[in-house]
Amino acid sequence: MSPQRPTGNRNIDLPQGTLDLLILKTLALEPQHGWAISERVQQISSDVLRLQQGSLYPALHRLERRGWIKSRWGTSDNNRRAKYYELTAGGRKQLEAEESAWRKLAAAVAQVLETA
Amino acid sequence: MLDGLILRLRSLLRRSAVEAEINDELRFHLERQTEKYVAAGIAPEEAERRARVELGSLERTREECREARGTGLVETIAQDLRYGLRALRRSPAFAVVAVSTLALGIGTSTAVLSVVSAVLWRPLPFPEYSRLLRIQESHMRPANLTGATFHDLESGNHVFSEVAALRILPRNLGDARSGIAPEEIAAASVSRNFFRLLQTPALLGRTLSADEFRAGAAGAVVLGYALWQRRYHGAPGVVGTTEIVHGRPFVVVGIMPRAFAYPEGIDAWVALRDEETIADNRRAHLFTTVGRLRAGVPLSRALSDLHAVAARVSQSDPTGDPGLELIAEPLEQNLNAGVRPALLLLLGAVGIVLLMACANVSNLQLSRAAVRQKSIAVRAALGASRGRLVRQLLTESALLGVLGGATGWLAGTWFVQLMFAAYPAALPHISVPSLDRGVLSIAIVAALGASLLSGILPALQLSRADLRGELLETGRCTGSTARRRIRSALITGQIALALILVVSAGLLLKTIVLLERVKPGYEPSGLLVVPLSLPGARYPALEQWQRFVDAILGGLRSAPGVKSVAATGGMPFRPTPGSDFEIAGRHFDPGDEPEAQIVTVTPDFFTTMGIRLLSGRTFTNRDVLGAPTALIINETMARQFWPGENPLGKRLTLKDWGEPLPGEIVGIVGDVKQEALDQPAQPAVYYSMAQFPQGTLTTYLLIRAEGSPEAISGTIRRKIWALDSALPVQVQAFERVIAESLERRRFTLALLATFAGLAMLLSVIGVYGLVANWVEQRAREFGVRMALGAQARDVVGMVLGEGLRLTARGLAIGALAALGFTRLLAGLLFGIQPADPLTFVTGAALLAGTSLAACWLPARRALRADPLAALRHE
Repeated sequence: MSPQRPTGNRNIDLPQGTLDLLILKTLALEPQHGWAISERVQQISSDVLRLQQGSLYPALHRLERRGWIKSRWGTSDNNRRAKYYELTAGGRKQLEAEESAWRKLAAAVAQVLETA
Repeated sequence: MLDGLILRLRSLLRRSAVEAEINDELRFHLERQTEKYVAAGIAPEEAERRARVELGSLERTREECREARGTGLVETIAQDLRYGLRALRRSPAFAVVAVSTLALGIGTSTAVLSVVSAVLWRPLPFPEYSRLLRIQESHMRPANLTGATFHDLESGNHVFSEVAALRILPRNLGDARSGIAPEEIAAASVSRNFFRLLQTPALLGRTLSADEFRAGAAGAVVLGYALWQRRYHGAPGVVGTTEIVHGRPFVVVGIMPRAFAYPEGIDAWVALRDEETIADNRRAHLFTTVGRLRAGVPLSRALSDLHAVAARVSQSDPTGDPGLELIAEPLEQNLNAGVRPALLLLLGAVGIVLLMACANVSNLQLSRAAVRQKSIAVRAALGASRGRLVRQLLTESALLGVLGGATGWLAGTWFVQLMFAAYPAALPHISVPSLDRGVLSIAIVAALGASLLSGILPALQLSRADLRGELLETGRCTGSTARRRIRSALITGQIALALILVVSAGLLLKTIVLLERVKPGYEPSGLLVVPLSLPGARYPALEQWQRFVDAILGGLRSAPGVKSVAATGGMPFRPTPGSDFEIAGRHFDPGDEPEAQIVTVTPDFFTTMGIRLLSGRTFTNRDVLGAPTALIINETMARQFWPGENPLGKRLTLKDWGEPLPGEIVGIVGDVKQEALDQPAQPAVYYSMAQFPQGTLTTYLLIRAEGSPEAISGTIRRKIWALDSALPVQVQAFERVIAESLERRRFTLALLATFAGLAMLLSVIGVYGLVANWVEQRAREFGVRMALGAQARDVVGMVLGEGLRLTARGLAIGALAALGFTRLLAGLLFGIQPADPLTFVTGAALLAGTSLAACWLPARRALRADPLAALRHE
C-alpha cells in the first residue's frame, strides 16, 4: 500500500516518510493549495524527485488530522475556489524536529558511504 | 486536540459536505495541471488525459483521503452496510433463503441452549450452594442413609457445619367437605437442620421452629410457592390457618419463596420428629441426606472424612454391613444427573444443525459468486484493497447473520414454548419457559459467529478475483474451479453431519419401538390405578385400614363397568419396598443376603392385572392371619435361587419387617417390569395383604374396566369419598402411566428427529444446488452428447453419478463421526448397540436416496439441453 508507484526511470521516488517533511517545508514559506505544493516540490528539487500526485492529498488530510497544518477555502491566483493549507504552531515544531532528524540521518548515511 | 476532534466529527456528521470538498479539491488540481500542459502547447484532450494519469485513480485517492481523515472505519462500515442492504435487496430470493436458513439454525440452537442453561447451568437458589453435598451410602448402587447411620454421620463427622435428613412422602391435603377436593401432595419430612443448612428464610411467615421437632408437638407445615399459588391462589391469609394434612390438623406457619425447590417437586415441608428418624435402625434406607461443608473444606477431605465415619460405623456395629461406604457429590450434579446426557446430546445435535445452516449459507454465497465476481473484480481494479473487499463481504454476511439472528430469536421463543407444550413432564423444575438474557447474548454471538463462519470462505475466495481473468472471461468462470472445490468440501461436510443426526435419531427411534414392544408382564389396557395414602391418624390400627380397603373393594366390585378389582402395596413404576431374606437350609454372609421386592396383594390381584400363574396357586380368602404364611414368587426369583429345582414348598424368612416372618412358597407367577420398561425384572415375593398387612406402605386400588376406563372414574371417586371425604382420588390409566415413563425419551427423540430432518433438508438443498450448477455449466456438453446419439439413460447416469460422488465421501466421513457421537447416546438406548450396523446402513441409504432424488430436477434439465442453444450461448 505504498503511495509510491514506479514511474519512469529518470527520477528518484520519494523515500518513505519524506513526503510529510517536504510538504511541511513547502508550507513553511507561505500557505499554498495542493497543486502548488506539488509544483513547488518538483521545482525546488529540480525535477529529480518525482512526487506521485495521488499520494499528496491523503498526506495533506493526514497532516491536517494530526494538527500540523490547517486548511481554509480561498481564491486562487486565477480567481477560482481552492483549498489552502497553512502551517500551525505544532506543525512548525514538527518541521524543526523532522528537519534535524533528517539531517542527522543524511550525515550518518553519507559518512558510512564515504568510509566504507 | 479539540480541533482534531471537530475535524473528525465534521467528517462523520457532514459526510456529504466533506466528500464534496475532497472532490472540489481534486478537480481544482486536475484543472490546474491541464492548464499547465495546455500552456506548454499540448492539445487540450491530451493535456487532460495526462493530468488524470498523473493523479492516478480518483476513487483510490478519495478513499485514502477519507482514511487519512480518520473516519475510515465507521465510515466504511456504514458504507458496507448500505452496499450490503442494496445487494440483498437486489437478490431477494437469496436473502430470504439465507436468512431463513440462518434463522432455523440460530432459533433451534438458542431454544435448546436456553433449556440446557435453565436445567443444567442454573445456579441453585441457595447461598454458597457449591458447599452443599448429597451424601449416600454406597452398596450395589447408591442408597439413602439409614436412621442409625445418619445419626452417626451427624455426630461423628468433622467437615460439615450441618447435615440434614429428609424423607419424601405423599400426603393428603384438605377434605372434600371443605369445598375444595383433597389432593395428594409431595411433602418432605425434614430434620432440624434442614432450613439452616439451605440458609433460606420463608417468603411469608417462618420456617419450622426447634419445638416443632419434639415428640408430641402440634403439627406445623411450611407450604411451597407453587402449592400456595395453585391451591390458595396466593392468599397471604393462609399463614396461620389450620389445614388437615393426612388426617391431622397442621398450622400453616410459612410460605417458601418460589425458587426454593428442594427436593424437586416438593409441595410442603413438615418436621421429621426426632423419634421418626428411627436412630436404631440400620436396615431401612429411608433418608435422603444433604450436608453443608464448612468453609474452606475441599471435597476430597470431605470424602476421606466420610470414609472414616463409615469405617467406625462398620466396626462398632457387627450386625450391619461390613463394607459400608459413604459417598458424596455436589448437590448440583446430583440434581441434574438424570437429564444431563439427553440435554448434552441435544446440544450437540443442535450445534450440528447450526453448523450445517452456516455451510448452506456459505454455499449459497459461493453460488452467487459467479454473478458477483465481475463487479467485485471491477471494484478491486478501481483501487479497493483486498482487506477492504473481505471486510465488505463479511459485513454482508454479518447483515445476514443479524437478520437471521433476529428471526431465529423469534422462532426460538416459539420453539421453546412448543417443546414445553408437547412434553411438559420431560424437563425437571423449570416452570417458566423463557429465553433468558444470558441466552440472548449467546444467540447474538451465535448469529455473528454463524455469519462469519458462513461468510469467510466466500469472502476470501471472491476477493482473490483476478480482473483480467474476470473481464476477459468468455462464459466460464475462472474462479469456478476453486469455488467448486470449496463447495464440494462443504457438501461433504454437510452430508457427514446429517448422517450423524439421522443415525442418532434412528437409534433412538428403534429404542422406543423396542421399549413399546417390551411386555410389561401384565395387561395395561383397560386397567386403572388409584393410589391411596391412608393416614395413620385416621386409620391408626391395621384393622381400620383393612376394613376400609375391604369396603371399597366390595363397593367397586359390584359397580357397573367394573370387571374386577384388587389392592396392592406395590405398583409398577412406583417405588416398591424390598427386604433381605433367609432361605431355609442355606447360608449367606451378612451384607450378601438375597434381596427381593415385597408386594402385598389381595386374592384377585393376579387376574385383575393379567399376570400369568406359572405353577402352584394364587392367594385365596383363606390366606389370612393365623393361617400358615403363603408366598408367591416371580420367575426371576425362582430362576435365581432355585435353578433347575422346584421352588414350590421351599421356605423363606423375611428379615427386615419387625419380627422375622417365615413362609412357604405356594406359587410362581410371571415377571413384571416393576421399576421401568428398560430395567430387568428383580426377584419379587408376593404376600397376601390379609396375612401381612404391615407390608403395605401405600395402597393402590386396581380396577379392570369393561369398556372405556375413563367412564368409570366418576363412579370410583364417588364410592371412595362416600367412605372417606379427605382422601385424594386420582384415577390413572395404566397405559398413560407407561407412556409417561417413556416421555423423556420421546422428547429427546422428537427433538433429535426434528434436527435430523432439518439436517437432511439442508444437505439435500446443498446437493441440489451444486449438481444443478454442474449441469448448467455442462449444458453444452450434454447437448452435444445428446446430439451425437447418447441415450437419456447415459445422461441421467452421469448426473446421478455426480450426485452420488458428492454424497459417498460425506457418508464415509459421517459414518466414522457418528460412531463417536452415538456413544453419547448409549445411556438412552435400550436393546440396541450405539454402533448398530443396520441403523447406520439405513441412515446412509436414506441420505443417499434423498441426495439422488435431489439430482432428479438437474438430470431432467440435462436431458432437455439443446445443443444448438448451448453452442449459440458461447
